[in-house]
Amino acid sequence: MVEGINLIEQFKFASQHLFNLIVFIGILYYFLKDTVVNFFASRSNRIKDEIAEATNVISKSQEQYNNSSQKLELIDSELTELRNSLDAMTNRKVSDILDNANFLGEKIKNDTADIISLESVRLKADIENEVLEKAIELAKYEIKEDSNESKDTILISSFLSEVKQNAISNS
Amino acid sequence: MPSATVNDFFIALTSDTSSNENIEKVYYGLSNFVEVFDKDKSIRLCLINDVYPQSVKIDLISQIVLDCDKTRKFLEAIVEFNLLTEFIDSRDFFLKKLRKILGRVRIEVTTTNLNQEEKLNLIKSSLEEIWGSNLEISFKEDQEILGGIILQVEDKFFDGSLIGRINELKKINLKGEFNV
Repeated sequence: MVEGINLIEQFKFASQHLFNLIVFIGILYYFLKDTVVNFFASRSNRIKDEIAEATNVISKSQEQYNNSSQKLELIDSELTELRNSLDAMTNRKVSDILDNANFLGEKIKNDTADIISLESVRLKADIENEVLEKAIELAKYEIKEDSNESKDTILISSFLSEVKQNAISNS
Repeated sequence: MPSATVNDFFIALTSDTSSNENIEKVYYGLSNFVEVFDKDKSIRLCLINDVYPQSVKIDLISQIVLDCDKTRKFLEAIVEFNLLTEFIDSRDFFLKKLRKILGRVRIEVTTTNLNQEEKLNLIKSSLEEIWGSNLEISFKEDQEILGGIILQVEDKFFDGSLIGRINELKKINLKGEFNV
């Protein structure tokens, strides 16, 4: 019996508290409804604005990213072009330098061959002249040793006869 | 105003001198003057130097050219007109002209030995056979020619010396006509 009373008491107690809670909630709803609505509405709007702003930022960023990408692609293509051009120019220059070096090498080779040839001709002529000078010196010495007045007179007579013959033929 | 040249005075001198004998005198006078001028350095310096007055030069000329008035007057006129240098520069030309008028040929003979009279006579007679008897022969000794004879007949040169023949061989070798 006591247990039955307690249960009713407890139920009664719970019902009163539940009622108080409902009343309390009703009062809260009555007084705080607009504030809460406004709060959440403004929060919702702020979040919307932030989302819109973020979207805007994202689209701008995307646009900038696209622009940057385009620029990077452009720079990349220019770099590639420049590299190709540099490569072509370097190859051409290297080719020119090699051609020049080959030409110079060939020219130096030919010039050296010419110089050697001319030097050998000159040396040959020098040697010939030296030999001739020596031969002439020897001949002079021999002639001096061998000459005498009678031979000289014969030589002079012979030459004067020759001059006379020339004078006669010219006249 | 054009002034007189040495040639003008020379033409006047030769046209004024009618006979060969006088031209001969003029020639010897001028030859003697040229010889003295060439040999004596002090006379040469005095005559060609403008420092000395004309009167000194004329006195000097009159001392050199004693036996020919025409030659002396010619040289004095040359000095007065300041033409002595021009005359000296072309002295051989004027002497040659006089020789031509006289029909004379000047021959300079170069040989190795001038002591052989027989050889010199042979040369003289041979030259007379070729260019006639009117010759002005001068002999010069030069051992370097080794042998033979060199003749300078007015402007013509005849080389019959051994050194000349040797030099001919040298020239042939320079042309590469034979190899040593």
